[in-house]
Amino acid sequence: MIPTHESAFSMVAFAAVIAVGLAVFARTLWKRWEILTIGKPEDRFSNPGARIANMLRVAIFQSKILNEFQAGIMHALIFWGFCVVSLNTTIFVAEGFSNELLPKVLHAVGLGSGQVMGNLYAVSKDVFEVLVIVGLAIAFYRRLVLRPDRLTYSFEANLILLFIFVLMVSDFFMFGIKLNSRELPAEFAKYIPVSAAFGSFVKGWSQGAQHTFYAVNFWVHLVVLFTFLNMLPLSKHFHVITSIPNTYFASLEPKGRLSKMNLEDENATSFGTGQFADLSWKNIFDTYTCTECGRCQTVCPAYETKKPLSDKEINQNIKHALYDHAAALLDAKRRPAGEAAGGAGEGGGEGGDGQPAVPTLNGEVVKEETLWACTTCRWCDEACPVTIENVPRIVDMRRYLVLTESKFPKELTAVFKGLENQSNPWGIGSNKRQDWAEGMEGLKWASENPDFEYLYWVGCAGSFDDRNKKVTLAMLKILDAAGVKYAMLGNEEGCCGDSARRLGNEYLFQSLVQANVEIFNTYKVKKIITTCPHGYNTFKNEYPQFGGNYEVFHHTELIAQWIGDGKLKLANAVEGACTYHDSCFLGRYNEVYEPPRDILKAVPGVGLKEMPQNRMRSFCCGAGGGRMWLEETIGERINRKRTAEALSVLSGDATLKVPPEPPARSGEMNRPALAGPDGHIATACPFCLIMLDDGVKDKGVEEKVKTLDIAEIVARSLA
Amino acid sequence: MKILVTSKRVTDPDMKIKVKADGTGIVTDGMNYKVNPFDEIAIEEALRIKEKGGGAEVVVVGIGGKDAALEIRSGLAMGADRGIHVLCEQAVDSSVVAQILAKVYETEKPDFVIMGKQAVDDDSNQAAQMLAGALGVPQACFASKVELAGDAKSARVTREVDGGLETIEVTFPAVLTADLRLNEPRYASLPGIMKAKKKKIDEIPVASLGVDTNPRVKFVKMTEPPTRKAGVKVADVPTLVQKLKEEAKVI
Repeated sequence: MIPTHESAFSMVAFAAVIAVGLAVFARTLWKRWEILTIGKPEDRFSNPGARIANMLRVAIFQSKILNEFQAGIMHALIFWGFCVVSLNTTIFVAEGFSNELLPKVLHAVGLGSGQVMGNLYAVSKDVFEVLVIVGLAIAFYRRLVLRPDRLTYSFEANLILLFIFVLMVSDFFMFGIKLNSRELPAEFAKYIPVSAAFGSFVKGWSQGAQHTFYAVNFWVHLVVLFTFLNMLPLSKHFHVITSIPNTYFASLEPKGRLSKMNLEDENATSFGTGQFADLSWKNIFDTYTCTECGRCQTVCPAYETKKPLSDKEINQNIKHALYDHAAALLDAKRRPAGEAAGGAGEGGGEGGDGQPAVPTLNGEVVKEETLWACTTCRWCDEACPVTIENVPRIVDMRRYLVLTESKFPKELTAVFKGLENQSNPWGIGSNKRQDWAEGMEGLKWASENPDFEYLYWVGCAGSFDDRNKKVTLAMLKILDAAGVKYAMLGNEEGCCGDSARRLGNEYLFQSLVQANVEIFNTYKVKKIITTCPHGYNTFKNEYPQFGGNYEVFHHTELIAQWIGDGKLKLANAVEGACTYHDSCFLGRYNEVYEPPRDILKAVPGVGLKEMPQNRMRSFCCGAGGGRMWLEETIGERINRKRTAEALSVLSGDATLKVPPEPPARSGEMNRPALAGPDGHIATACPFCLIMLDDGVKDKGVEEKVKTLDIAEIVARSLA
Repeated sequence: MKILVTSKRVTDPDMKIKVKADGTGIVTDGMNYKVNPFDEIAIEEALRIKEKGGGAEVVVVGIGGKDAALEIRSGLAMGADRGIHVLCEQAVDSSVVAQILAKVYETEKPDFVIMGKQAVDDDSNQAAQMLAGALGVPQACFASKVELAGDAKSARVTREVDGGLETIEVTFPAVLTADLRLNEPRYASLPGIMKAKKKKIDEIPVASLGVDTNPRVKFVKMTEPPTRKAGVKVADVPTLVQKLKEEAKVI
């Protein structure tokens, strides 16, 4: 039956297809390997136990892919099918060479025909091949009929699906004909019912015709298999090879921790990611792994509001630029240091040898406006099914612009100078930080009460922003009611540095951290409470990089706890519909999703309604990543989009379709009809509060809908 | 070409300023200092002239105690080539500053000097004019635009004067001062900060210059501005109009 056993010519052709297929494949992989060496070294090998766990969870069990049901099932069926069928494919190739040794080997490992495991495998193979076809049907339906916006459409993507379909069908036919011809015993049919069904299609054919048809399936299967294999590293389907290792190499650092830069090297002339050679090998491996699935775009606040940022595009553009200019980049890398003037031969100049000039990574391949559009909300990294690290790469590129080139939107100059001179982004005098407390009696300052348990970190917004000063007062009421020993730093407090770090100004960040750690050491601080998720995240996850280790609490965590153990007694009702907006740095970064909700459920009168985009899928307010301090000039305003979602929930219409943007700041005309009582938008972050409050005012509904920090709601409810 | 620029260490104007109880000056405890913002504009202008070509050397000069070196260093971080620190612990007035700068000018022999139009701490706005007078060279103060002639021997300077702009031409050597709208100073890059650590700052004790450092201006007293009175809330628009008419007498 098997053609290679029937003629020497077939055997030679068979061996030749495999040899050529593997040789070309090996050559492509070698080229891809070489490109990886353009990148800088980075340790992604430590702690193999945790890495294997990640790999099992994300790759093998498809945990992230299945976050989206339809596409998730589609992919999982094809992926698991592939895993199961790969053994069958190995048998197919081995069998082509010899059908004498193979059965012995299979028997030896317990997978022989007639053995339990062998029969079980036969069933699995048939079932999973059907499931793969189901997956393919969903995939075709998505690509040809549904056509979701996030996918990239190409002939090649459809061709690959077709190839897989051909592989499955030809396999069914081969097994079916083997049954028909008694090469497989008839009783084996019960283990491979689908193959048997395929066989029955051609059962009426003459033996010779079936024989020829087998040969056709055999050759088609073989050629498609090796064509498929060679197409993988040339296309987005490289992910078939790279995504499992990519999940193994995924960062094991806390999600909210950016890398600590070495700023001590006085001979360094470049900081951050400017050129291709500044990428790490893992950054490059990430681009290989990007599957163009576009999940990173679906709730990206920048992309969704028509700003020029798509992580999918960044990955693809970097990858293609690397492919196109690999020779020049490798050449620059191999040249001895000193000769490589002009940064790895990049940037507009002559390419030499008639080669096109290598574009600059930071500026040409990835545009500056793209980098500044990011709110570092981390949805993209959370959504990516193959753990590509987009946000850290964007920050690394911002670092280059800020530190090396001193190139950034001009409104940031005042912000950086304000942070540098006054340790707050508003640039208000550092000795005015505790002015909010002027005229208030009995406040607990650390300098007068050094034996406190909790340091209440008021933060820049809580100290300088008029709206957030009210949250500070609410928080003081709560702390006093809870009866805990706390103190504040007042003028001794500085900026936590989150904005500086995420805007790429690592130098400024590190100097701010140093100053704060010194103060914390002076007062022997052990526990910190913040009302700001940005301070919370950086104290908790980033200060340990600089020797600052504290127990850090977001106020919602402690308030929920104090309500639970009876320290806080809520009595007054805060009537009205209420929706809670998850802050990115509290939610996605630190997975604090429930305490704010527990609090709201505990407050009498609050009718909590969830927005469609909640918890992990929360839509950013637009202020993260230092965007708080930047003008928003491109596209729709992010805060308005989120506010519209909140308002639609409060007015009882909980769909993702948000009302159209009003043409201008106007009141009466665009007032959405709010049914029922006044509503509240609850926040747990000073920046979200400012952004959503502005959004509500833009919609002209500030009389009906109040944006409040959870602390304010609790303070109102306190007995 | 050589350009001499100044960098004065001033109390940060964003800080809350408190006058000492005895009126002899301001409370300096916990005070932040920075480069006089107008000097920063002057440094930026010198750097831009340098970067346009011609290979100018930009020299930053500062006068003050040990700490004043920090502000000279910030000028170097922006890109200036070297610094001169006239070590002087006592307080100096504009006249003394002008005399010190004149001495520095004599040794350095720059093509021209650019200074901030005034320092934001004492707001005297006269050191540059006095310097030009002491040296007997032309001055072009409050520049909002500086264009060097092709031979770099003179400059066309646009000055912001009351009610408009005035364009004048000065031949070098000359003293220029920078106004607010001349440029937006750069934010020093990290490599710039690193390089600045290795750049040279010559320390010159003020005594070695042979300048009479006794101030000509006698400091009498400093007082806080009167605090603003609390506002009044009015019930409605007619009351507001009435109050504006009768009490404020503005309508």
